[in-house]
Amino acid sequence: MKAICKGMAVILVAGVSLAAVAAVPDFEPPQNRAVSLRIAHLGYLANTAPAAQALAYAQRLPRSITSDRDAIRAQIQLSHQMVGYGLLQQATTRYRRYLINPSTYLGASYSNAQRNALWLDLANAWHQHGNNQQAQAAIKRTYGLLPQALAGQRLSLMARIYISGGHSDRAIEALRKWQNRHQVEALAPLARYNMGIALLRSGHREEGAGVLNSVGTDKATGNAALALRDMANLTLGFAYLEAKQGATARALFQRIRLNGPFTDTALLGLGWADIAPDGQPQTWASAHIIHCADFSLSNLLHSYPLLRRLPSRGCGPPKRMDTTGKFDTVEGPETQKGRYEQALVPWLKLVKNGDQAGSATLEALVAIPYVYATLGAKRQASQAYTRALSHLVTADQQSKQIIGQLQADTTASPYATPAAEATFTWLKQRWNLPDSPAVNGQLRDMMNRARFHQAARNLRDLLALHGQLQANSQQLAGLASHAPHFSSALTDKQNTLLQQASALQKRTTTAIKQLDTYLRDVTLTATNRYQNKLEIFISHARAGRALLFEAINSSPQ
Amino acid sequence: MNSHTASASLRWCLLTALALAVTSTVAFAGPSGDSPHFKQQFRALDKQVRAIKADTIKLQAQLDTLREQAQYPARSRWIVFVTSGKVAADSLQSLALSVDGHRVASHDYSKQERKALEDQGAQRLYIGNLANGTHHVEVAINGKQRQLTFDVNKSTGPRLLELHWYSGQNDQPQMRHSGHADTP
Repeated sequence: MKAICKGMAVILVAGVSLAAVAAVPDFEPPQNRAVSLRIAHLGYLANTAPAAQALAYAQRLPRSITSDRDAIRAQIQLSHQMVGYGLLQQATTRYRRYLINPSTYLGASYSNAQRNALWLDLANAWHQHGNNQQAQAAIKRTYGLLPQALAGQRLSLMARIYISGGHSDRAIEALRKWQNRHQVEALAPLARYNMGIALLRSGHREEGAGVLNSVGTDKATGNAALALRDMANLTLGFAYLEAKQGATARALFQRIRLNGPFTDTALLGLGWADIAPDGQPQTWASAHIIHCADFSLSNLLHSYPLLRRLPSRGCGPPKRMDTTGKFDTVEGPETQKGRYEQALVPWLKLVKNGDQAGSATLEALVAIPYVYATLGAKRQASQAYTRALSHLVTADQQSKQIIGQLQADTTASPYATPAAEATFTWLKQRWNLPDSPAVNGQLRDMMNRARFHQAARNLRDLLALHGQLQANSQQLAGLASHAPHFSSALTDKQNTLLQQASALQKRTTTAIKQLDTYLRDVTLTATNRYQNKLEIFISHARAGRALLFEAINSSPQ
Repeated sequence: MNSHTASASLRWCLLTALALAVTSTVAFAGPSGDSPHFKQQFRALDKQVRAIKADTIKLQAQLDTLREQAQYPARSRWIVFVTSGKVAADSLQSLALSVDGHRVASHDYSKQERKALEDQGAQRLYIGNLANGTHHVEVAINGKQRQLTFDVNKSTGPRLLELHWYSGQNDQPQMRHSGHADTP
């Protein structure tokens, strides 16, 4: 045997592509190899095939082999796929069965952290699907000492669940518990963002500002992290603008990137902040836990220049540091004229480069002529009003067209096999919507909403299932003619399955219609809201222009 | 309208716009602004979709079983699985299987599939019917680079063939084969 192998190796090393003839099997397979291969095939499908295919194969495995260690490992992988496919109840049942004590089933190599990560993933999916009760139940299944990153994820999810349920106070309580053990910066930025919002909403302005400031000053990398940083600064900027603290708001808006998803809104806010009064320097507050290993006076002084007190020297229990800081401020020009002139800079930039159908651009279009009129530049004000009205009326017509099309309830090929992903372009084509900036902007906004996105994914999945069921029914009906050994027992089974497929097809068709209607209704509601806003802008622009003409006509020549 | 009234009206316009800006930001900062009606509707539909998916998978499993029973009866069923040990990365690019000179299956492997094989997965390369008796099998590995040829003696009853890709002497990847009885 060795000689044969050696010979083969020599041939391969020499790079000669010749037939290697092996007359007999040259390795001993383990017993029950047929069963092992089927389990291994399940593992292969769990990693390579679409979820539905892998799950259908899993259903076919005999129950007797489900206690096999490899089978359980494959089942856990599959449960993970189920989560992605939306079969959350089934995944929950399997996790309850297999993740109670994974080391018993799967050996010590299967760590508690892996197990907890799976439960958290499931909890997150339940939350995405709008069931916070199940999400909380899944979170409760995590146990033991979680690594800091995982603990942060758990807290972040808890906070989202509390906030979406209107319990900001509980979210804050959870944050404070975390702060007693960790540095707040160790928490994932998204969790901190949610916490900051919860604190602001419940009136803890300085503390909320401190948490949001920590997100807004993060050394973020990657698009998502940078967008979150921008969002934190934007939220803070508008909060201080609302509180008439223009100097603080200006500095916050200026932190936002000029090429990110929030650039338009930031430019709009910056213009308003330029006009707003400067106000007083604003303070933020935050709590940090200093651990022994972190203690370094120079680092602390560098990180927290406004520390009120420093921890005592030496190792000991973690110490809570209440720190405060002041936001940077950017003072505006001294005269009102200067402020108005300054506000024009970001707004003109926004109108020139921003999303032409976006709310921020539309608002800037109306604000610009107002500023010109205030500055006494009547000719520019008149031109700007004309431009704004022309733009707004076009957007209004486009949005009315969307509303009409959505109400008409026409669908191009209602059961057409969908695109690989549920995108706004796919919905636009499905609903025969025109290709305009208003449509694109509106649908893109809708897709950014978690529930809408999930509903669109569900519609896409159902359309794929619809096609699959149709193909299955045809295949089933023609099975006897293609199969040479079709017995009467198989014919009975075939008829039963055909009936089941037909019933399922009907349910799928109904659900597709309902989902389509739901998505249309949500889009229609949002488009109506957008159109109302447009009409307000149009009426303001018309009123402003009329007042301007009146002022021009009444002024002495 | 005098200039004072005009100015007041414009200021109102400004304040309304400001309020809109702030409102839009508050809405954006919080959870999506769907109404409770839409939330409820979403949950009900989502539940319905999940139930349909689960039932479709069950039906698919039954259909696959029926199809296999009908098309590949136990007495002649022959399935070929591919497995792999730890081998040099990307060493398995493609396989082509021929029986008695006829090409019956071929597959080009993706990175993900190679990884799944290395993680103790098994790919079902082929399922078909094979008459009792001796058959000549050829496996072309990575195009025509290498070839494994052997004879299979098919007896009555379902049979499996396993093609195993592994690291042989001097870490050179090789393929070996083994036959097994399958469950009816």
